[in-house]
Amino acid sequence: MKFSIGKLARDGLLDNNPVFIQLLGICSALAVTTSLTNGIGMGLAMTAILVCSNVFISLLRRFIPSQARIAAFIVVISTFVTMVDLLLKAYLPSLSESLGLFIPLIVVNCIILARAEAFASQNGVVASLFDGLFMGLGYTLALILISALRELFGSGSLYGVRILPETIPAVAFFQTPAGAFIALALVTAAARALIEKLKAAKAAKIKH
Amino acid sequence: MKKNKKPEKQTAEKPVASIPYVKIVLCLFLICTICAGLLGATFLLTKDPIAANEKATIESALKRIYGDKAVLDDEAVPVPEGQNVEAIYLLRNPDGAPAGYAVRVLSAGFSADIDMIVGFGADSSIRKVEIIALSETAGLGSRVAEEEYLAQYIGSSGELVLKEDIDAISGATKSSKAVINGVNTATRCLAALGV
Repeated sequence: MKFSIGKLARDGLLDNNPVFIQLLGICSALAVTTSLTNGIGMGLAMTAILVCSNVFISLLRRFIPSQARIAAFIVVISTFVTMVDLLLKAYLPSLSESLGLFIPLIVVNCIILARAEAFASQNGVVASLFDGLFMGLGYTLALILISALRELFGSGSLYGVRILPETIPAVAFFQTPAGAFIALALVTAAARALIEKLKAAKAAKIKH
Repeated sequence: MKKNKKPEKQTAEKPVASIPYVKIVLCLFLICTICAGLLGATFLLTKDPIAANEKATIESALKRIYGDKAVLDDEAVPVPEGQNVEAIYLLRNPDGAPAGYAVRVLSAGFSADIDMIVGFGADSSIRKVEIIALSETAGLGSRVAEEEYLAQYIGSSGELVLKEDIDAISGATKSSKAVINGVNTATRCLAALGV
């Protein structure tokens, strides 16, 4: 099976970014992005689970009967989520504490099920691995941007380090759930504008 | 609409008869077995570090209350009947004299339980309140875990009333209430303990 890593990377990070373009997994993207640490942690946990579940499902794709595929996917996904949850609790307890309920909730995150159904169950193992990796990184990228915006304006710091001087008052609104929607909208609008521009530039290049 | 439905149903019925039930069951059974194996292995691998983390969290909270030199009594203190607390710890000074009891309480907060330890001195007044875990609204309710806020509990004793004995954080009354409820639960438990 032929695939291009470059195309998968472009798809996952920009052209088909799970958050900006597909608008999937918004629940967790809104809830955990109060600080950059959380955003990065959640993104990487998600990437690890996406890669594992994509590879596992791709390996079993000829073996799983189509009538039982959703059940099989959910079992596989929840296994990896529980493993990541336990590993975080054991080795990164502070991160696990702040991500709280949202790690177990990755089980029902539609990005993972969507990649399993739309990609891993129809493509080879290596292609699925890279698809999971770049979709995960695309999700991470989106979370980093949203959480950076929220942490910077909501509490004046980045990655726990104070950036804005004390004289500039923090807009606590950005830390609230409603502020999360505004932050998501701002970042998505900017990202989409940028992605469109990149696409147009590429199209112009091909023409010349 | 109705006309269309009928033939659809017939075509849908045909493959129903040929669903490979045995294959589905075997396949799901196999996948579940592999997954159970993976989960079991991860559980065994992480069991000890998770327990150690939990213990370390409690111990560091107790150290912040009673100082580095205080020793946690090895013998577990039984929780008196009817008291809704998680655990009771007896702390001793290095010379063996009791430094006081610490009570771990779960108190219902705005979104989830607030996990806290209330440390009492030998005279049954509050030495310090430590929050172990909470998931209150960041920037609002989460401020009840701040040192400056919890400092107002130090030295108080008996049943406390919010906005009289203790200030609430404006906009986070529910979270403030949760903390004071937890402290009062701990105080009642200490009284039931009879010390």
